[in-house]
Amino acid sequence: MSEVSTLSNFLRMSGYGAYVWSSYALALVVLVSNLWAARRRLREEIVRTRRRAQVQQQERAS
Amino acid sequence: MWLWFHKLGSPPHAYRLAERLRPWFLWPALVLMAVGLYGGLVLAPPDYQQKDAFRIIYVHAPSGSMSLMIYVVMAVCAAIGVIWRIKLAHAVAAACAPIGASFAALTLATGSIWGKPMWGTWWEWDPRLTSELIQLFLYLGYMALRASFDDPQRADRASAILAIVGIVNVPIVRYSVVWWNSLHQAPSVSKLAAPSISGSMLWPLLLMVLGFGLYFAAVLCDRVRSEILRRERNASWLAESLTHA
Repeated sequence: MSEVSTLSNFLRMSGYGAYVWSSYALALVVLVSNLWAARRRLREEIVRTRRRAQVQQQERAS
Repeated sequence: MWLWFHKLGSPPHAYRLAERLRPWFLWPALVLMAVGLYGGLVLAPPDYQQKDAFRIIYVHAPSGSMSLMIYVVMAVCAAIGVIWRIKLAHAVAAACAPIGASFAALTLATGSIWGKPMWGTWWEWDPRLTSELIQLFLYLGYMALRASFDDPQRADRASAILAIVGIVNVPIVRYSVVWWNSLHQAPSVSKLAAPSISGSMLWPLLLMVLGFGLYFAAVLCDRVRSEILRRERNASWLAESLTHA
């Protein structure tokens, strides 16, 4: 019982829960999406560069 | 020294260095943020005036300081690129912009959420808030300007000028709360001799700032590599290092 009320107190943030948690949620979204977007772009560029290199090799071979 | 400088400026070397350094930035960043969050959300006592609402500071302030620090990195790299004509410096500057923009937006959003219960308004045309909004527009303007050129070299030079001129806004944001009578609270950390914040509230904040900084470095590593790939498409070293990896 007391553990549950401690947790709910923590989540309430003395009545500012909605403000505090929405701020933290936004921060999480920004941090995760920055990492994700940078990785995805890098992977795309690597695939593109590899493809280009292969085409160049084939051209040289033929 | 000069040899080292040249090596660092060479795209193949920088590409591999960024690849190797990334985990050394990312994992310490995540650990620092996790400890900082625990300290900020659980261990730090509630503020005597703002109660638990003050805890927004642990994401708002690090994000705000990042929005300025990243701009300084971007403008310095742009200046190096223009003065010494180093392509890699332009690549780093270009890689900084989207990360900085996201932090400026996060600063404004979390500040707005904090302002609502504390000041009773989401937005006020206050010096700090207005100058931070300009900071966001500088990032967006820089990115838009880059995107408007087809020729990467012209994009580099034009956007570098904007980045260098725009740096005047950084001290304006930084000292706006000191120079003008702002609604925003004055800085409580940077008075190094005597920070007006208690230790139990301060150390999680410092860990978060450090964590955000390392996190930025980790994301920058990936973005710089993308920029190098985009610029060096036809270079032979690229084909070799990518087909063997």
